[in-house]
Amino acid sequence: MKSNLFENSKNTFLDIVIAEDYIQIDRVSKIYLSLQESVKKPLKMILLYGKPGTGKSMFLTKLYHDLLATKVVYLYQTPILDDDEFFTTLAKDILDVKYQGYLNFTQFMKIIETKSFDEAPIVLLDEAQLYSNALIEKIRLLSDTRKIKFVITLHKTEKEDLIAKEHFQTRIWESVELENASLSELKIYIQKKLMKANCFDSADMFKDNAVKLIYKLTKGNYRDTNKLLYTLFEIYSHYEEQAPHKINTNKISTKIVEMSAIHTGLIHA
Amino acid sequence: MLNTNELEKKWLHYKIKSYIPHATIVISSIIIVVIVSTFDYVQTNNTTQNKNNTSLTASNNEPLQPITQVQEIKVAVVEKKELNETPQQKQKETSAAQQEIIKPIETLAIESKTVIEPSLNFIDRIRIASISQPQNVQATPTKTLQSETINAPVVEAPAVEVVEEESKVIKKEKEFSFANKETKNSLNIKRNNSQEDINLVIKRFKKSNDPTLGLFIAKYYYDAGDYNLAYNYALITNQLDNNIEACWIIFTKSLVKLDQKDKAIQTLKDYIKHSHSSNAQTLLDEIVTGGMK
Repeated sequence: MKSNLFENSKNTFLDIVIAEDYIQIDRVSKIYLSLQESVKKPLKMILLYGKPGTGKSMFLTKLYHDLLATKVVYLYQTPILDDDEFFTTLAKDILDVKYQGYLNFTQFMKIIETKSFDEAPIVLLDEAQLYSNALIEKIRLLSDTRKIKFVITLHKTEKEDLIAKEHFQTRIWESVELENASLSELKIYIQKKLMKANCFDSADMFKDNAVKLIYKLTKGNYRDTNKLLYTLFEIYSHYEEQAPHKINTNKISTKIVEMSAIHTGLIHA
Repeated sequence: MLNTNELEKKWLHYKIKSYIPHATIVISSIIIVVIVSTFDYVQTNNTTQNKNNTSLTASNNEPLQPITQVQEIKVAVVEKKELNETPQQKQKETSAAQQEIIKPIETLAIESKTVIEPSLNFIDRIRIASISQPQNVQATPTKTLQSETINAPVVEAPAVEVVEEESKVIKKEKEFSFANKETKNSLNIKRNNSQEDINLVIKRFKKSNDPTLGLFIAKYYYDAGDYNLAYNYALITNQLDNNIEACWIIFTKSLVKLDQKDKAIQTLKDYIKHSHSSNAQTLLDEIVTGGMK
């Protein structure tokens, strides 16, 4: 039974973006609500930025699922790097028109200017830092037509800051920064996530000391935390099967947290 | 599938590595504490030993001879006890012996105090005299006298003898006053001696040709009213050292007393030309005006 519990707990922390797995944390919830409000306004472009692993993709996915029922919204999780392919895909999705071959930017602009929408469709672009500068410039020009709203996510690095400054400084009407979790937020995140998967015993094992250590290792980064806890429960699961005497099911072992950190590269042993 | 054994090894390695800085700090702290405490202990021991030594040696200002005797006594006692007693008994006996030893130290020290007392009085008197008598007489310093007098209570037997010899003179109320180092040649001598004592000083003067003693004798005879002898000794002393102001003053005063006022005035004038002495000038004025007594 216990091994099943650890197995379930392990799977809870698989690093995949599923809107249903989204964990409500007060601060993030407020940001989310403000973003939802911003999307309703006639803004041309909204920028969502933050360091890797701060939950931007999850945030965008959650937004997509929540808006889907009331808005015309399109999510592109994987960047379309070729310009013509990008505009062809947009035309197919937004205009519901199938073209023979590729559609370039000029052709797309001509078409979009002839179209009128009751409400501007919202295009969500994840990992926008991977787009070329030329394509970003074209997206900016497209947003200026006010025919399409864009919500884009960027990694916050020096390079991305530069892109943001060069291309979006005067275009962006709203920007939202996502940050790593605080210590208390991390504890809520872990326990909520486990409880959502009905892993109550596992959730109860996370005492303050264990959470502090995890926070120290991951600095509240959600992706690192997911990776660490996935490995942690994998080790627990292994011990449960092979050497149950080595584990204490009342609390998370510091040793196993450190072993997980070594395995995931958070500790360089 | 995770290789937990490998992971455990890595974890152990990591733990050891993470404890190394802490262990280093703790070990180095312990070493420092041990070194410091050892040093402190050694220093404290040295200080107490020094204190013991100084308290034994300096307790009565004249500890040298008594201590030597005490040490001899101590050795004698220990040797006696060693012959046929167990180590525990030895300890007891040794401590008892040490207690016994303390008594002789005190008694001997007291005895020695009586022996050395004159030399201390001698120093005290010199100091008092140097403070109370502003009028200084130029004289060649008697280094041997000073150094021997100061060192005598502490160091060596011959020095003690010198002090004793000197102290005899002091007992008979001779007062030597030495000025400070800046006027190291100046010296005041008062005398109130018997003929026997002055003979002793004259003998020493003849032996040593020390101008200080010559001046002392001249002053003695001048005070005693024997102006011929005073003139003679002042003359000899001036020949030995012609820079002693007090000696020139005694010399001219003796001349005045011997009714050779003109010669005295001339001598003083020559001396004033040479030395610009204010004391000599004052005396000259007194002689000229007839104010000298």
